[in-house]
Amino acid sequence: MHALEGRDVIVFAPTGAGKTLAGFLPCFLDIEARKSSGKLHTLYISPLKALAVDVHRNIAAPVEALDLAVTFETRTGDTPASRRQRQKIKPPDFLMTTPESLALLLSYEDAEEYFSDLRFVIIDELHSFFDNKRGDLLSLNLARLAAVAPAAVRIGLSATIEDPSQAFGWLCRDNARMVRAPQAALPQIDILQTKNRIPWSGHMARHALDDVYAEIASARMSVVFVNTRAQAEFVFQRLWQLNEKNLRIAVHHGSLERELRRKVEARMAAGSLDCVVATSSLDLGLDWADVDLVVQVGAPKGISRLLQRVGRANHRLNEPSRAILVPTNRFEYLESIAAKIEIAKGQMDGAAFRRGGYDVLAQHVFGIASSGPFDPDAVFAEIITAAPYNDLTRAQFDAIVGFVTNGGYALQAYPQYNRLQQLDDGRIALRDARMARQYRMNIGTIVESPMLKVKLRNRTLGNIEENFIVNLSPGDSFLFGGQVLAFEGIKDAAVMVRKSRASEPQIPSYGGGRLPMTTSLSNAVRHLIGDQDGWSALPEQIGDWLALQRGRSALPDQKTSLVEIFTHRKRHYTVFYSFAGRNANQTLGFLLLRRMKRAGLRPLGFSMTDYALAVWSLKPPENIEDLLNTDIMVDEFEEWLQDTPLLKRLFRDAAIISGLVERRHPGQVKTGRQVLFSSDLIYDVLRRHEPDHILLQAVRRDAMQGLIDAGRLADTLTEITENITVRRLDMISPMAVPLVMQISRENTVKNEVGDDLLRDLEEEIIRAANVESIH
Amino acid sequence: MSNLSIDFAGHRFDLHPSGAMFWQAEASLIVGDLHLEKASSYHASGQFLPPYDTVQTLDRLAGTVTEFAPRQLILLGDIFHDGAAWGRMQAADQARLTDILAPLSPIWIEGNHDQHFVPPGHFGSGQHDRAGIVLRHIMDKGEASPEISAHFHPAAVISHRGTRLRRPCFVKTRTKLVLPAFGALTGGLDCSDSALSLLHGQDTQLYLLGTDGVFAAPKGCPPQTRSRRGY
Repeated sequence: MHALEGRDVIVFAPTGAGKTLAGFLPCFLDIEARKSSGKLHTLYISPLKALAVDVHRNIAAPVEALDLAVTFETRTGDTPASRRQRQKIKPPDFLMTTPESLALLLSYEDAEEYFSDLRFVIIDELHSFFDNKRGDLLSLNLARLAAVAPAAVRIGLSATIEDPSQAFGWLCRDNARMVRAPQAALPQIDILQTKNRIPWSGHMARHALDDVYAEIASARMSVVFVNTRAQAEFVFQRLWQLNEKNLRIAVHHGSLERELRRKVEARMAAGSLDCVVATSSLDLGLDWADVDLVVQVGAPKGISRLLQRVGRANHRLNEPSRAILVPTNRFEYLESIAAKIEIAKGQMDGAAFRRGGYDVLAQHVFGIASSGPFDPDAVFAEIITAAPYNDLTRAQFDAIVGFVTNGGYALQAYPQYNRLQQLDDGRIALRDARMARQYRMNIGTIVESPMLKVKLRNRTLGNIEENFIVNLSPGDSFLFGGQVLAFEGIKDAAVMVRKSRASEPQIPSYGGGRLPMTTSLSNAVRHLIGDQDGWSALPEQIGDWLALQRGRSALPDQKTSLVEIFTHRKRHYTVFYSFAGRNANQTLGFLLLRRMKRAGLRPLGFSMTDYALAVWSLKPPENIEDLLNTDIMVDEFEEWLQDTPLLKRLFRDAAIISGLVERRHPGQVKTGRQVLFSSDLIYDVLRRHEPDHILLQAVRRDAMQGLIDAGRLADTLTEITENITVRRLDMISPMAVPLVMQISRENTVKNEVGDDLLRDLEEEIIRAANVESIH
Repeated sequence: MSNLSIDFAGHRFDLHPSGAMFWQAEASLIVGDLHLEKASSYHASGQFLPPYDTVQTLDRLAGTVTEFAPRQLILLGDIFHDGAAWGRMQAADQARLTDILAPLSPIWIEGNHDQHFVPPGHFGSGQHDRAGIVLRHIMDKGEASPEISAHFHPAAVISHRGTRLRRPCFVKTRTKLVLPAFGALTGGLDCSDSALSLLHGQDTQLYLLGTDGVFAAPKGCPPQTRSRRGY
């Protein structure tokens, strides 16, 4: 037992191999030998509240069987205040909690005392923390914990990842050990067989749902995973219409009221459901014992992601889990086959690791100050032991401290309002200890987009994005939680609805959250396209589609960066098969709009998928090499970054996480008649007057590694310039059809056309009224 | 920048994309809801909003004054975000505001936010009557005469060709005209809100602020533009 020798350890095991229990073993042995001290002995941290609850249930059995004198409890945001209070005074031996609750515990003045006997910290689902702000928060708090409880050993429990050394770098101190669980049986993955035509584009799998219904009808219990909430609503409603056998089908996604979600989870655990349609909100938080079929609707987008999803089924029976992939269009078909091939080869995606966010660091510094006065030198030294922050400079750290103190503006502020003050001994402290409350109300890195409650008479059905509702007029119907609802109006900040029988309801879109396809999977798809001998294994319609593409244009295989130029409905389309993922393609789209505008090509817009980007213009481009030159990452990029509305979206989150503005808690209605202030306006003012402010730096840094995906775009551009193949065509190519069809649905440039749109609207009214002007 | 000229109560007004309005016959510039020092008002509660809103709003005011060269400035209230805002202003900003106002013998109408605070040398009043039109901060349901007011920061969402835009706007009915907020950090209240029910109706005209111009929306408030498939 390495963990007993005071060395950190990571256990790598496939999903569902029982590694959680393994993680607790050294803790059981240690406390048995040492006896309970009446203080916290082991801290178990999981990314999901539901998982903490589940683990709590699962360790009860061995504790009883071994007759261990161990107390164990959960503590999450859902734990009643009375129990949390008691846990503070009389902690259990083992505490199951979340990163946010750990941050909260560390912010109390007695944190050092509270954790003084801590021996173990178990981090479950370790791999889920590497690429997001929640991981930044956890990493910082682990560094904090190491300072207050130096004896505590870290035990990481991770899914198998491509390069374990990266996980060690993230979690462990020197001399760490690795434990590898034996390889589980590979899941049996099939692609759904359908007699119907596979659509060129679209994401709703309308064509396949009768076949999906047949599959779930023959399974004992199935989970139908979808990629978006809109898909969840559509698929659930359609399956319900097909439900001639009266199967017990439920839906589960993040916008539904918590009570409703818990009810679905409980019914699953009790075996009183036949099928659940779910988004990733269900990924980790349920008992999978009886699930014998996982259906994935829509492309997997990543090899490891797919493996983790399908690997959960059937694990108590030691049988391979069974999964069916349901691609919704032809490109997704290729992607699904490629993912299946890679899984069979044992291939995985490289885990994405990110550089820590400055907004999260600001929150953390406020938290440290809340627990008591701190020595800035010591805290800086501590923070750079957290892997995401190991390249933080002292100047950046000081800027963060300045930000927490009073916003950190170049313009002199009013010291009487400062949050932090320097004491005579050089330490930094809260100006007023009561300010710790402000920190504790704001812990966490997850920011919900503005949501409104949906109410059917007095019953709350869940939350819906404000942005969707403002497009509705009273009487419009939409799908929510599997019901067709008619919008009646907004009352007291709630969306009032009634049930409706409308046959063509709208589906709320729910912003963001779509992850780009991983690089490994992109490469696998391109390999598949190029492997013409392997085409015979594809369904006939897909093989014919590829053959048609080869005949009319060229194949965008691994060695070919294909660019097509053609005219369609009087517009000139330039299609780049970059396979760079939707984020990098979107950035390239914005940059090309600028460059083509400058070249006088009069570009009008673009659309993108994970695979390709299509830009359309009034004039055709002459020299593609000039357009795609890597210098676009310098010339146009810097300029675009200065005024892209994409950054506003990120600023909204950063303003809340960093504590610049207060978090709106669910149910908390704005008091004033007017909106108090909008983060978009704050962003505009700040960008204009202090463009290098630390919070703007924070946003640019986040954008580079996520939404803008600058690194991947740069790699792609280099590759394009090396392998470029240009085809000028007489007509649209088979592979370009989905992109051109998508243009009519998506308008990615809307924020850049504001005044033109208003002008156009006004002119339309003038024409309709047949008058010169309107007053 | 281009203005949009409209008629209201028999007078001609130029609507400016900044949210200001120029009364041609009276050579007067009308602005409301500057909310100076709004950002710093949040500092006491530990929300350190960027303290640059005052300077940006004053830049905008100075620019608009230069453009119209009015004889007089009519301030429609809520010039300061709160009664203590003048005291928080940087000395340079105080001097700048004083300089802008000095040659314009401003009519100072008090708002609800600035709590009867009027900077030294000026005198506030609850309303101002001119050429048959009443000017006040908050519209009055019982007012029989044509009335110009501010206070609500009206904004409207319109959908056109599949795109949705939300913009501050002027709202005009037969007898009432409400200005959008002029301040840099001022949010908006959606026109469909019941607080603005006095302005709702098929003949109400909204004028939306663009970046370079002011644009008339289809008649009616709340706006009736609906998503249409376009492009």
